[in-house]
Amino acid sequence: MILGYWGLSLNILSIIFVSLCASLIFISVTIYFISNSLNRFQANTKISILWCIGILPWVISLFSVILLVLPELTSKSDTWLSTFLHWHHIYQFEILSWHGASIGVFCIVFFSVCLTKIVKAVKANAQLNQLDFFIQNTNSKQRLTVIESEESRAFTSGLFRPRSYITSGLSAQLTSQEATVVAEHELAHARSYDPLRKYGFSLLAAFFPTFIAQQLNNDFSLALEQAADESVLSTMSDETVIAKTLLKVSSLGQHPTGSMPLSNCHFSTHPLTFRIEYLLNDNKGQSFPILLFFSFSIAAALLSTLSVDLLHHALERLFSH
Amino acid sequence: MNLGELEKLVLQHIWDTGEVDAKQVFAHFEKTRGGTLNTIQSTLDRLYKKNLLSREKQGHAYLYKAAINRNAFIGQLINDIASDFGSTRDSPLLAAFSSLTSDLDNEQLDELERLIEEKRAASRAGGNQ
Repeated sequence: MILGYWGLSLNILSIIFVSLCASLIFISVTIYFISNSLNRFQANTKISILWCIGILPWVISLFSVILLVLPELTSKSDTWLSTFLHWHHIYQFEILSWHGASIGVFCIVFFSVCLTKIVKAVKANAQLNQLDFFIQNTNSKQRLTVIESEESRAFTSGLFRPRSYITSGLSAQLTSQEATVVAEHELAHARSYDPLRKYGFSLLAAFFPTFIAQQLNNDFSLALEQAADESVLSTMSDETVIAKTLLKVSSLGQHPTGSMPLSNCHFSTHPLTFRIEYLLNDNKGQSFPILLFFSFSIAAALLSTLSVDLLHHALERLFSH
Repeated sequence: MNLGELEKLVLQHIWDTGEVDAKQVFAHFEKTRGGTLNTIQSTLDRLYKKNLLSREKQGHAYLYKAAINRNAFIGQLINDIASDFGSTRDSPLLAAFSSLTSDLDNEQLDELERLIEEKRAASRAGGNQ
């Protein structure tokens, strides 16, 4: 039995874990049913909403800690709130109990997710450095690095020092106007540190169930692309030129039939369709639904905290420690 | 594919010079980088095992040459960077112009083309009024 402040800290960790699980379930179920609604919003709003969704489970778990622990720490432990929500023996922690098991699972999941992501980042960084090493024609005056390769690609990578690249294979097939579109798009990614934002978001999304995490990552990726497309509009006012370039580059990057992996993405829900429709649409969508999001957050926080309390008491009764 | 510092230098050297044996590579790097013949031999062996070099025995020594040309290797590197190591369709460490895979068929691409043309025609009509 661990007593005192160590016991308190471990109990707080246990509350964080249970609340995190409950909030992830509630938010995942909600996302599952409203997944298409995100396309109603402007690209930058969509990015903000997705960040909020990613952070929300962690905020909720802190909210649960405050609601469950604070009454126990203060002299006002007999308030109406503590009759609904409370955590027994907050200063005592039994390692060989469901609390101990929950912390064990939490640590395994948390550290394995972080470790996997760090390894991935290090590996990607090493590959990017390798690419830089072998690129011989790097011209530091050029904003976009040209890679001598037959591949048709343009991309931006690098977490803290994003760099934009275009292959000579792609460059050779573009008109100067199209090349400007591609360059401005990639430079917009680099300016807003999109690889780092994408990586940070994927870290938050990794705690959601796999299929929800994938959906969140795809939505975030699409929103970043749409935001980059939109930023090209500031230098090139004709959106049809950007849409045409997008279509052309996508066609050039297409694999020959037969070797192409099968996609289960329908035309109307395909990211390319969304990007082109978004570009061509004069109405870019709604702004951030502050009231709706705030209400949802409060509801999810209360439900999660209540679930923590219910689970805690159900297990206490079942196993009586 | 991740290569060590010396592996990258040796591969680059072989792309620049063509067919070489371990002694020639050692002679090239001895002045600039130091090291031993053994280090160069094991580096060449590692590159051979990674299928980046091919070799042929001549007398007691192996003659090494590049098994893949520079542009093909860079193409492979680009694909590796873009692929997110096979876990998802879209790399979380990269933002690409057409990263969200372009697996639409010709009919679907034509449909998008039609949408763009419609918009262009509407803009022109709006501009003429």
